[in-house]
This record gives sequence, C-alpha cells and structure tokens, in this order.
Amino acid sequence: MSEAVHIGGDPTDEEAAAIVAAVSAFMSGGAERGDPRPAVYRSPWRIAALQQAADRAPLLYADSAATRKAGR
Amino acid sequence: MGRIRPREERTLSEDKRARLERLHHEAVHAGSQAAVDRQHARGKKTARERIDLLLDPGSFEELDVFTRHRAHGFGLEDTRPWGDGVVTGHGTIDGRHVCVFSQDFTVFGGSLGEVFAEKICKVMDLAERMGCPVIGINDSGGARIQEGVVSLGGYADIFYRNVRASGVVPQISVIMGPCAGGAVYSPAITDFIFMVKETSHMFITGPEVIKTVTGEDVTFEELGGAVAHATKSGVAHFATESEDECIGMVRELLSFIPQNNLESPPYEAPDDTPDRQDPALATIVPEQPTKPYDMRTVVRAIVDDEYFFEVAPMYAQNLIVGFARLNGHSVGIVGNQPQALAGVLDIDASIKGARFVRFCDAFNIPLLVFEDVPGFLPGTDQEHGGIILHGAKLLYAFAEATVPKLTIITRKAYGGAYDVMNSKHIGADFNAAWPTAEIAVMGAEGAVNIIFRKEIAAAEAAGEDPAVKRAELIADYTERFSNPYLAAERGYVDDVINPEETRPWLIKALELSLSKRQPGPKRKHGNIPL
Repeated sequence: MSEAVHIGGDPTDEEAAAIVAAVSAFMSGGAERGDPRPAVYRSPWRIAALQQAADRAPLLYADSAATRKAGR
Repeated sequence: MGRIRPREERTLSEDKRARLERLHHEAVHAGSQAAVDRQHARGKKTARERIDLLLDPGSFEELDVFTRHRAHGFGLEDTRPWGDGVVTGHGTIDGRHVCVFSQDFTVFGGSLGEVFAEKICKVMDLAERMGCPVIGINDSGGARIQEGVVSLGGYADIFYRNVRASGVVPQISVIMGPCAGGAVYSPAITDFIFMVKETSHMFITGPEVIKTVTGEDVTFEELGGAVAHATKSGVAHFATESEDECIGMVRELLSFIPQNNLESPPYEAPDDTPDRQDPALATIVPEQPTKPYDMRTVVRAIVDDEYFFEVAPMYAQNLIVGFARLNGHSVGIVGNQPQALAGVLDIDASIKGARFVRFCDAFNIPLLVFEDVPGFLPGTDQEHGGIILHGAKLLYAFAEATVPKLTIITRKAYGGAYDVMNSKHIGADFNAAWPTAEIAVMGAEGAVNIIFRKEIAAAEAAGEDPAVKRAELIADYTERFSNPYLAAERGYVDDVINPEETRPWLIKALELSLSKRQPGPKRKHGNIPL
C-alpha cells in the first residue's frame, strides 16, 4: 500500500493528480487485481471475440488409437 | 476406526528414501559418462543441461522419470535405462508455464521407441489440456530399429498431436542434433524451428543415400545444416551460433506470444512514449522510386524501444516478418524489403509471409504491415514454380485473419500486390499512406510505355525526341496517379500522414482495434491453396 495522502477540501494540483490517477486505476478495473494490462484486455467484448474466433476452428477430436492412448 | 499409529511407523523409512534417491540418481545419469563426454566434445549439451538453460531456475518438474521400455529382442531386454532416452516435464519461462521434452542422445542415441514416444505424447497432451506452449528439443538418431513398426506408430502418434495442437498452443521445435527421416515431420508441423550451426541437421534422406541414388556429393551441413535451412529451404526460422544463443532466442520469442489461442499475447508496460515522433522517418524513403532503403529502419523507428525481433531473417529477404511491441502491445510485423529484390513478392516471400500471418492470427497477435511493393516477381521460374498459387496463400492469409490489421504504405503499392498486402479491400482495419506513397496499377514508367505507346511513336515520327516525350508523359502520370490521394479519395486508405506521425497514429488505431470482434461463417476449415 502506498502512503496515505490527506486530501483537503481544496486540493492542490498534486493532490488532484493523485485523485485522478487513483480513479483511473479503479475505473480500469485492473489495478486492484494486480493486472497491469490496459482495461481492454479484460473487456467482455474482447473476450467474446477471442472465444468466437476459436469456435470457428474445426473439432479435431475424433476417436482414434492415438487419442485413446493419451488417457494414461 | 483404525488405531492411531505411532509417529515412527508413519515416517518414510530410510531404506525407502535411499532407494528413491538411488533410482533418481540412476535416472538422471542414464547415459554413460563416456556418452556424456562425447556429447560435450561435439559442443553439445545434454538433454537435462538444455532444459536447465531453457527454464527458469528450479522450475522444472520432471514427469515419467521411471518409465522404461518393454521391448524384447536384439538384446534390448538387457538394457532398460530409466526414462528411455527422453526427458519430459514442465516448468516456467519468465514465470509462464511451458511443457517440454528433450531427447537424450546419450541414451540409445536418442532413438525413438514405443515408450519414448508415449512420454512425448503425454507431455504434449498435458500442454494441450492446460493451454501452455510445448517446446521440443530434438537430438535423436531416429527410429529405434529394434522396436520395428512400433517406433513408426510412435512417430505418427506425435504427428497427430502436432496437428491437433496446431493453432491451439504454440509449438516450438529446437533442433540440437540429428533429426532425420520421418522424424522431421514433427518439427515441420510446429510453429517455429530453431537450429544450431554445425551441430544440428535435418533431412529426409542423408548424404549417403543421396550419393547412392543421385550420385550427388553433399555434406551433412550443406544438405541439412542450420544455414541451409535458414537460407535456402526456409525450414528453419532461426540459425544460431551456439546452443546458449538458441535457447535465449526461444525464451525471447515466447515473450511475444500468448499461452494458447484463447489468451491475449503478453502485455509489457512500455518505457517508450506513445506520442514519440522520430524525425528520421521523414528522410528514410528516397525520392527516387528505384532507390532501396532498409524497411527494418522504418520498423525500428516506430516500435517500442526500437526493438524488432525478426523471424526467418535469412530466408526470402524481400519480405521481413517478426515481432515487436507498440505501446506495450505485442504485434506481428510484415514488411516488404526494398533492399532485397526491390521488395517484390515472389514464391518464397509469399509462403514465408502467409505462414507468419496465419500464426499471428491463430494466436491473437495483431498484424502491422509496412508496404513498399512493386509487384510480383516476373519470370518463367516463378510462373512455373506456381507463383499464382503461392501468392494466393499470402492473399488468403491476410483476408482470413480476424486479428486487428493495420497497414502503412511507405512508397510503392502496385498492382495485385497492393491488394495482397493487407489492403482495405481484404479486411484491413486501418490503412494509412505516407505522402511518398504511389498507389497505382503499376509504376509510372511502365504505365506510360503501355498507355502512350502510340503517342510516343507519333512524336518520334514527327521528328521529336521520343525520350523527351516519354519523360514528359512520365512526369505527368506521376503527378496525376503516382500518389496516395486517388486511393484516399475513395477511402482505400484512411489517411495520408507524415512519416514521423506514424507511431502515434498506429497506436491509436491499434488500441481501438484491440476490442475488434469479427464473427465469420462457421465452417470446418477453409481451403487455402496449399
């Protein structure tokens, strides 16, 4: 945890910048989880896109001697 | 309820502990000291030394240490080393999980038998289930002949898994010794092949067979060495001077790619600023359209920290491909290289580019294209070699890719090659041209010779100097058509930008595109012209 900063009723420029940074980190939804990536990486839209792209691929899981042996 | 046993009864007895320790020691030293010495004398490391170098210190967990072959005949039953000649397991690289197998040349010459193959299959299956890359270190004399057809079945089991895992988890092959005959097809299916100069070889048939069949004299190195495959065949993506360098590059490559096809590539918080503008970009492209320049200079001036990790740098040098980062985001770079063959697309460049584009698309890595292409290479060699089919591969690869696709046209974008190089028409998301761009059916000189053939002939007939007339017409054509504005008028490029503005422009385009979602029709697979 970083050192607590007391914010008065009339914040200085420095204090205002700290507030903006903290709010930005909160809005990005990653800082509190320790994920340094930009928020778009956690976007449901993007995650859906990755899933959809993979769903277009063929299913290559037909039973065969090779797959049966894999179960050890 | 059973009785509660006294503590000393529950403690592992010293003799059992000692037995485990002894067996472990035997397994780790399955190869004789003489074999290890021979390996070192050849400048090669042992299977375990390679794994230690590849993985984060202390992260390796070995699997199947105590497997042994079950074969009989030819005296095999008398020698049953622990591990059966291949070390398998998992560990981490830069903290990210990977599965690995490393063939041990000091045990049965690294030859592949039933149990050896089962171990590789098991670790490949593990990688596929867990969604992590699989790295195979190859150093093998080939099939264990004493085990007969079972060895062949073992190879096929591995090939099947290579195909099934293709596009699901990254597969990397590191060749650090012989890899011959059918064995080559496993690395061939994987995404990247690394080789070490002088000590690694890949071929279907060796020098002796070639001498017998065709009479050709060729050395191992000339036939299937790292340089041969990195320059002539394109089989190897990297040819390194040493095993240490090779393994360092494998680790570097992995830093750009995701763990599997459902994950994003690693993000690395940048030190470089997104709005950096490099004034040197304004002078890189020469005024003369025939004068070469190094496209890598352009790439480096734009990407984070000027760092471009080039893939297959010695093969089809007229097209550069590789990885870089833009504001921390991993991107795959494809660029025409005016320094080699004037940057034309030929068979080799098309194949190289197509395979790289498909890798990036399979693993969610955005594509960034730098275009300066005068067209496809003319000639009977190219036509009869199938440039139509091979060029179509690159077109197909770009068109089917659904990752973010960005293009910068630095100079020439001529003819069909303009369409192929990630044009707007085949689904690029953002395209920009520099003011030096010439987006046209062909270069001014060629166009004038065709369009104004009669005018030039008439001028000559009237006593005028045809060269002067041609020069006037070329100047006029250049002014009217060899520029980016006709394409911009139609929205074929989204903007015409000054070269130094390229980095900030690309970062804005890329960061918007990171949430790109482009569903397509469901199908088993397309039919790329192979």
